[in-house]
Amino acid sequence: MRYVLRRLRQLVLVVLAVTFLTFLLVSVLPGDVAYDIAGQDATEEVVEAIREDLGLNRPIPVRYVEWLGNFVTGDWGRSYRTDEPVLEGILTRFPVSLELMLVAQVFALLLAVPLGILSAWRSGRPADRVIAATGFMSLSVPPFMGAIVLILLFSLNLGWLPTSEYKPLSEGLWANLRAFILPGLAIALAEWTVLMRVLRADMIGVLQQDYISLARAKGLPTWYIILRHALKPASFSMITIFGLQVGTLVGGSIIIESIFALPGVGRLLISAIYARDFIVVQGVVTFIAFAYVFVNFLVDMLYAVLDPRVRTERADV
Amino acid sequence: MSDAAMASIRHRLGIRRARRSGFGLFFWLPAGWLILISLAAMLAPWLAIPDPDGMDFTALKAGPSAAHWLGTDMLGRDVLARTLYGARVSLTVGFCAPLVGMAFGMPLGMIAGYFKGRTGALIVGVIDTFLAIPALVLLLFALIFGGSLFIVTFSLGLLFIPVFARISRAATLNFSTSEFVLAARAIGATDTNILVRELLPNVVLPVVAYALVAVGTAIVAEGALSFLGLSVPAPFPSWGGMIAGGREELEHAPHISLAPALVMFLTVLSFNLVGDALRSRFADVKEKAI
Repeated sequence: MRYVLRRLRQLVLVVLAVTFLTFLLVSVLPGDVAYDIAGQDATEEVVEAIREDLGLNRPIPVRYVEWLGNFVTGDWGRSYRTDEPVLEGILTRFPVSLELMLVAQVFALLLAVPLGILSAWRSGRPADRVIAATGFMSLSVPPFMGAIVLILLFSLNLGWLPTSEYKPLSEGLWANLRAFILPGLAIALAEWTVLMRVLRADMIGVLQQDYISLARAKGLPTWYIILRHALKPASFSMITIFGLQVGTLVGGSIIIESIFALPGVGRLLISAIYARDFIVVQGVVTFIAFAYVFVNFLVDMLYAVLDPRVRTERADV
Repeated sequence: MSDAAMASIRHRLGIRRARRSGFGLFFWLPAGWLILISLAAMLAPWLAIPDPDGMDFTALKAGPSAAHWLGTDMLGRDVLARTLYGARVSLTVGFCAPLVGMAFGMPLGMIAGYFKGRTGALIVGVIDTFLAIPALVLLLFALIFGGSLFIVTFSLGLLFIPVFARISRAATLNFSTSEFVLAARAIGATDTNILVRELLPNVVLPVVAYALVAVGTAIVAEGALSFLGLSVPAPFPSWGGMIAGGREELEHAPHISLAPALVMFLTVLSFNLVGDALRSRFADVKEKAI
């Protein structure tokens, strides 16, 4: 219980720190949104009136406390540009980012688990080395570069998949899912290596345990030993890393969503940044931070449930 | 003899053994590439390459030729020249951002590891909170004050502080119980003295080994920012910007994007390979401590 409370306290602290930091940063933004809205020929009075209207001329701490108060009650403000409520704008785009995250993580697991198992089982052999080398190369390809190569290969040369044709779920599952395959793959290619390596390392340790030798001595088939006896205890660290990745991705991927024109949270953020629509930026960043911290919190809790040693861990170990 | 002292002896033996057996091909090949690209980036203004901003209207989106070794982009600018000038941005950010993280993170981590009581717990708490903030928020620095090489480097550097702090703390914890620290204390050395003269030389090795991997990460991050147009301003060549610029022409002139992408890939891969080789050789700090 004390562990949960400590983690909760940290969660609140982080969210407060993040919101204040972004508020501060966004407020000192050069290039006032009021000038942009007023247009080029506007007089100083017009600009001042817009500022007054948006409440931009009051001190930052006052605006922050007011924003925080509204934020807690679910009023995240309205976009300076489109007048769309910020929270609503985020929530309508969130499912897209969520789907992207799910597709990407499924791909990452599909690559990491079989290859990690194979790599551990055959450690030191050619198969292990080939997998390790492939992983290393894959790790050195940033997602935006992977995306370009995937588009070139599967869209332009082979013509199998669309580059940017997002369709809502209402137009059919396949039509919807098709648009997520390449972006999901681009993210997964950068992520699976870490999962695979962690699984391999843990699996090698587990395979040296006595109970595995016993299972072997009993004459159980190798695939049965690996899947039924070794996989579960070997996947602890992988689950943690997996959770961290989910935490990072759940708030959307700015780059991948822009490249593939997916209307997710990340794309909302980048367009708000370009438009200097700072109340939207503030809202999205808070949302992303909250999602990230919350998922991490859940993962820690899950870990504490699975492994009692975590619960009693002292801060100074 | 304590475990830490044993580890330190093994550590030294490890280095000696390493010198005898030498690094393999997968160390020297990437190391060679890194030296080549660094030299080319440094000497770019004096090399016999076209002006990176000069437009050749007779050869728009042209493939590789004798005049333009890697072809030209949509505005007829030489891709090779722009890639080499872009390397200046990427490598500057790549080397300096981890240095910023190291400059702040290492002292923090060493203090947290040496003074284990309340000070240590406080620093660890701050580091953990810092680590829990998504990278994006700190990158807002770059977005907001964006456009200058200094700001991009500095804000990326901030992201590295917690990781460097953790590595230094783990290494300091490891060495602070060893006999040479005890001996120094016995002859009356002050805490500052022990930290700087006894612990620092030992902590610096694993930290530098990690720094090389961090260089790769920083280059990727800068690439992502410049891909979004949030790094150095537009006409100035950068790898991410070039890859983004060639996106529209992917179908007919893929070299505009692929040439800088390939160079970036090789560079990041090389830093990872070299860093990994050094890390497995010099760093006694286990991954889980990070």
